[in-house]
Amino acid sequence: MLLVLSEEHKEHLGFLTRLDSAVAGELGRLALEFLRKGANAKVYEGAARKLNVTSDVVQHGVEGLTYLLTESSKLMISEIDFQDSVHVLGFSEDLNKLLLQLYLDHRKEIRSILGELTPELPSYHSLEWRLDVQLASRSLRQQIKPAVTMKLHLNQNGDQTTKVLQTDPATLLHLIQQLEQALGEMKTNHCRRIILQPAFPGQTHVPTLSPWGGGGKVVQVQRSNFKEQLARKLQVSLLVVFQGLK
Amino acid sequence: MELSEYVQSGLQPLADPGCFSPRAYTVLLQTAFQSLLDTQADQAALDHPDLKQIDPTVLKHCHAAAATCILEAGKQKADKSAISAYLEDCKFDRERIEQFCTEYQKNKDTLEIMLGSIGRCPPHITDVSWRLEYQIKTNQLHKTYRPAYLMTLNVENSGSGSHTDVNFSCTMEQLQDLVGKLKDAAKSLERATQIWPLGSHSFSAERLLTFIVFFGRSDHHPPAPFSGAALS
Repeated sequence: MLLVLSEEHKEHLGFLTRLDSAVAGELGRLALEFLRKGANAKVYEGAARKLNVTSDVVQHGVEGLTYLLTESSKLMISEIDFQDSVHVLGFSEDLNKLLLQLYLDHRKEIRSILGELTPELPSYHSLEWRLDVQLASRSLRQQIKPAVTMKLHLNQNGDQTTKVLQTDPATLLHLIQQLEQALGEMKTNHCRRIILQPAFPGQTHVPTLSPWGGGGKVVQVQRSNFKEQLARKLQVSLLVVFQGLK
Repeated sequence: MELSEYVQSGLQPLADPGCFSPRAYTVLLQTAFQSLLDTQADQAALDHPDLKQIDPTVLKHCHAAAATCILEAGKQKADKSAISAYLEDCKFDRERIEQFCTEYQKNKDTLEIMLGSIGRCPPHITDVSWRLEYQIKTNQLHKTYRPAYLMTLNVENSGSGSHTDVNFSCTMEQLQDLVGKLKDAAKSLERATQIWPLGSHSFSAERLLTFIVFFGRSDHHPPAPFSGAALS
């Protein structure tokens, strides 16, 4: 999958051809800082003075690089596709290598930053529980009413919220039974066919490249193609379902 | 049992056959139980034809006294002898006492559930719904390929009866953590009931059902049937 760059984007990135690779590398660092912490106008002005250009040009250059990196990371394009996509910009060999390294080194981080932007429900953090037996109340003496009091910690937009809930023994067993069914569902052939990669909390699927040359890379590319095929199959079957509904 | 003078003076006409005929006594007794236990109790229950001859002021007083007596007996889990002794003091004859105790015995369990459900407690989980989804891509990020569970805990608030469900998402590992902790709680519950035999209840799954039936809140929907396998 190749990136399609707009003319405006190419023009903004064209500024980089006029720089030597050390300065271009510095701009790459600024692009990453932009992703991590947001724009910093002062730094752009400083760089613009040194390079004898307006700060707009620097800003466009940094933003162009940022966009290049985020789009590539978003689509998770392969090393070869990245090189081919950047090739049309007519950069020097050094600069191309530098951009590729920048992409490969920071793809994981950029994807995790992008992952934060997706809409999310409150997510489970942890649970504490306590056993209680109610022995008496104003309206009824001599009771024996067992209960499980729970404190549910949830994460939402980086904040932690807690909820105090209670349940009775029978419902507790029912909850356990239901949740075990939910876990069991993951092991069915139906789910395994769709879900190939066990996912870890917060981690998105990032193929690691083998440090020993091309072998590992080829495997990874094939694997990612396989996923694409699978996604396509899924799309087709969804389409069939939708048509069936119509 | 100890009740206020006002209640005592309200019970005395009930013992008097000249004031309450046997038929009227039966009707008033049933009405008193009904008004406590049946949420849709008939507001016009005291307009029963058998109660027509009785002065409405006296009737209301007697009705309130009988209801208070029933509630107090329920609250203290009074046994037959305690109730009998108290009614004897109020000059009830043997037959009317017997009738009162029979009616009380019949409604005792419902009465305890009703009394047990009064009071504050944290929101009560009644059920859970789950959904397994596989995230493929978002507008920000493609190829995410992430399975996730979406959970909804159905929750009832005591008193107000309102429902505010708790929604959250979790990964498979987080769900395993959650289930593990709930199982720990269930095991501890089982162990606790072995150390302190809660009443005469041993803690088998079967027994649990008795717990929920016996101690469950009257406004609480019974959970779906479960198998006891989880605790074996």
